[in-house]
Amino acid sequence: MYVIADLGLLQLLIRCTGPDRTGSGLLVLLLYVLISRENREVTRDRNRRERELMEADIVVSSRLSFKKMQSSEKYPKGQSTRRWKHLKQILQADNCPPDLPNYVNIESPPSTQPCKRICDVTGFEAPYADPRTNLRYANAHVFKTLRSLSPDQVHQYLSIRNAAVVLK
Amino acid sequence: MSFVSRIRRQTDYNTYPPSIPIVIDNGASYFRIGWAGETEPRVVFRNIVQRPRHKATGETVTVVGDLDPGLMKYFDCTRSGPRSPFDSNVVYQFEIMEYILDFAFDRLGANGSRIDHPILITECACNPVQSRSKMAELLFETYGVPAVAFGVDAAFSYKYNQLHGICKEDGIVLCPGFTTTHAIPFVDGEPVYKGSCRTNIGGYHVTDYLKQLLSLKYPFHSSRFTWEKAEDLKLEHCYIAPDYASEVRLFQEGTKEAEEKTRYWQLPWIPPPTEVPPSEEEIARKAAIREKQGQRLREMAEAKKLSKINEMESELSSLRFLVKQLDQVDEDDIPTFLSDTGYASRQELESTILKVTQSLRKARGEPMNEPSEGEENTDSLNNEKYPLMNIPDDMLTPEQLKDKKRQMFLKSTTEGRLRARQKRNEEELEKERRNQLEEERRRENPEFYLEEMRAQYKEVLERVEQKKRLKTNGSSNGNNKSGGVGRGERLSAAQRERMRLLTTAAFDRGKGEDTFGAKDEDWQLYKLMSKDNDDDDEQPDSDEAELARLTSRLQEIDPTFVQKVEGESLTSGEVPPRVRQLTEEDYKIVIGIERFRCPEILFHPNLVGIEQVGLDEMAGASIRRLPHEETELIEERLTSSILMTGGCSLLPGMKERLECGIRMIRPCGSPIVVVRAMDPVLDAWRGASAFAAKLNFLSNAFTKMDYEEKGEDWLRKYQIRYNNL
Repeated sequence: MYVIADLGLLQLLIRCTGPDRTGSGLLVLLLYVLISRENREVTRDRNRRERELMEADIVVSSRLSFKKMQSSEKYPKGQSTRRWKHLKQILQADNCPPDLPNYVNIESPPSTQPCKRICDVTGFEAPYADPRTNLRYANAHVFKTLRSLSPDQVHQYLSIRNAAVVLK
Repeated sequence: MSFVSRIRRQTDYNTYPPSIPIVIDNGASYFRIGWAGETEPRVVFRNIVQRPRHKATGETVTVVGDLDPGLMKYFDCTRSGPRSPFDSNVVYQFEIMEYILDFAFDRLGANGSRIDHPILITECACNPVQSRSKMAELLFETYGVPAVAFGVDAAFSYKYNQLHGICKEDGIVLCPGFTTTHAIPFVDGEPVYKGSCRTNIGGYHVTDYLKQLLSLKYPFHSSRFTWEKAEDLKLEHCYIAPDYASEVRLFQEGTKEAEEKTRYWQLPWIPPPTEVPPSEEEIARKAAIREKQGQRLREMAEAKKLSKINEMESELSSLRFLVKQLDQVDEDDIPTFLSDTGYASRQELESTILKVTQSLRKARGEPMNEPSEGEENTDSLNNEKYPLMNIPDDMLTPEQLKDKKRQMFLKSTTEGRLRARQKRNEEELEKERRNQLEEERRRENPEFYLEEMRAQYKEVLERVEQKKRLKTNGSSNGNNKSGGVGRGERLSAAQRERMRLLTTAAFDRGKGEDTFGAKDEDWQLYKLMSKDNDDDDEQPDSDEAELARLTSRLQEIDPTFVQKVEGESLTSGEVPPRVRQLTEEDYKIVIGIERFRCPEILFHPNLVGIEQVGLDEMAGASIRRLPHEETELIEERLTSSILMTGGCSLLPGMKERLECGIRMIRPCGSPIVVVRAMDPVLDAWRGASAFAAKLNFLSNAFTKMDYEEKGEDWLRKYQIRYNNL
């Protein structure tokens, strides 16, 4: 854009200085100088930024000497990573003898202590639960706030506790 | 502050001979890599990868670790988010693992055609064999590593601390990590995995809980609570209460201790500039300006009035002159004389004179010369103008009939106008009377009246605002997670109606073909829609008119009344919206109970819905699971050397809480000693490094040949022996 402006200005300049309009010609000359200076600054800026980026060196280069096969060859562009099995699938496929400890074996048992009931909104002890939304609350004041929550907030509070009903 | 990263490229790679192993602590939060035998890992970074596109060149690049947001502006990060190779604490995405290893080896200074050092890498306890084998494959195939050994990070940490005398040969290590928490017992210096136990809760869940709680409490600022910010807050302010119930009671009663424990985070807030009631001089100046303007207007009005009066006077004089002239002229010459001037007869002239005098009088402000005269005039005018009115129809010619009709019409219109004027006068009188009443009421009881006015104003303002809000889809305010809420709720009634009309019109056509518009009636749809819209616009007007009247009244009588700006009325989505200005208070985030509520989930995972035991009970579960013969002694030995390691154990108050908790589940009087590792975060790496530096490291590692020959079963049973540490 600046280059085009430059050329345009140059043409204007030439045309201006033709007939007897030295005043405006000078003005155009001045403008031209200013714009070209700005242009140079912009490119200088861009170069500086590129250099900064390179110096920061945060990018992994795509060709590393110690690798037998580069990542770009191993995972050609376009193929997604959907082919990796998730933990659940890995565990299902894992047929290990049950007497040896394995990933599933060492999972903790559920708690034997009674479940602690705390208020969803404030965190106080909550002996009561709202029958409509199933949220726990500590006292009447909190109850008032509870009833004025919007449905998404209620849903979120419940999903923190993993108690939200998800309609599929 | 949150993320610690050391990623400068190391230059001394070549000074290490191929026998020195490289030690990697591959954790869900951080990746640490360094040389065996040293005390500090050389390169540390966050275990995530991002693959944005470079803005200028368009190619996809890989950036590993936590990023400087300043540099990220060169990349287009919209389609990439940070990805981790872990799923809970197991590595499953080996492509990302490969990028991470690339980056790590690169920063370690690797050059040469392969990584020529044996590698010791950590994994989770009882890593599934598939993950293990894929990792081994990656290291052998892609990097050409000669030998690989796998170890458990918690075990390394325990052994390291045992070396330094902090814990004994038999004990339990409790490791709350990033995504999981482990409890592994040690007997005779070796971890017994049969007795270990793992709960799927960790630092990540604590941070997530904090983030969600804050977002729900302050929906207005929910965009401020990013995961990184929540992590920062957790590291700075969270602590573990020795007893949750009693701590909560402190806060519930609002005691002074609770106040001290509450932290406030003030968000940047700029007060709106013009709410300050103007000072005396301001008021005086504004009043003076208004006066001047009023004066100018009045002068202009005066001038206009004067000119009009002059005009009318001159007209009057000319008319009078004309009349005088008329008097002089003969009877017959009147029409010709008058034809120049445009008046048809003498009466007309006289009536015009009358009118002009009247308007002159009015303009001069003199009281009107009595409606009675006017009425007489109109009567006589009536009789003159409508001479045909009183003559019955059959006596007139058709032309005269037409004339009569015209006169009837004229008469009815003038009468109508008179009636309207009368009604207006009456209304004016009524309003005057009402105003008088109000004035009296005000004079009797000014305070009460003012209060009433103010209340009325507030009510009407609220109503108007609500309507406005309904119209302009006011369900934003930070509730962006309303994925379940469909578009129907956000639209107002009118817009919903439009949608309905459009969709029924579109789908009532024949199947497959869109023939809307073929018939003319279809376009009536748009009339319906626009009518609906108009209806909606009409209603608030009455309320708004009321509002305007109340505002003006209040402005007159109430010196402290400042008109409420309508824009910034909504501050919190939970409370029904009240009209009040945003104050500094609204921008203060209070973190009181959350400080210890969030780490509580480590001890009670069912607070977030995970049905497993917490940290204190895990020790008990682990002891119960141990296969052993002499129950008593070994249990005592185990509980007298409990080590806490892992990032989460840095939370203050954990040690006391654990002691209490474990005391509750052990028989009374048994010895309980809980110690924290010297450096819970780095000890795993240090332990691994010390292990790898031993001369018989290679006997614990397996080579590529082993891997290929011995198969999966062997790999499953492969465990290193920690005892030679």
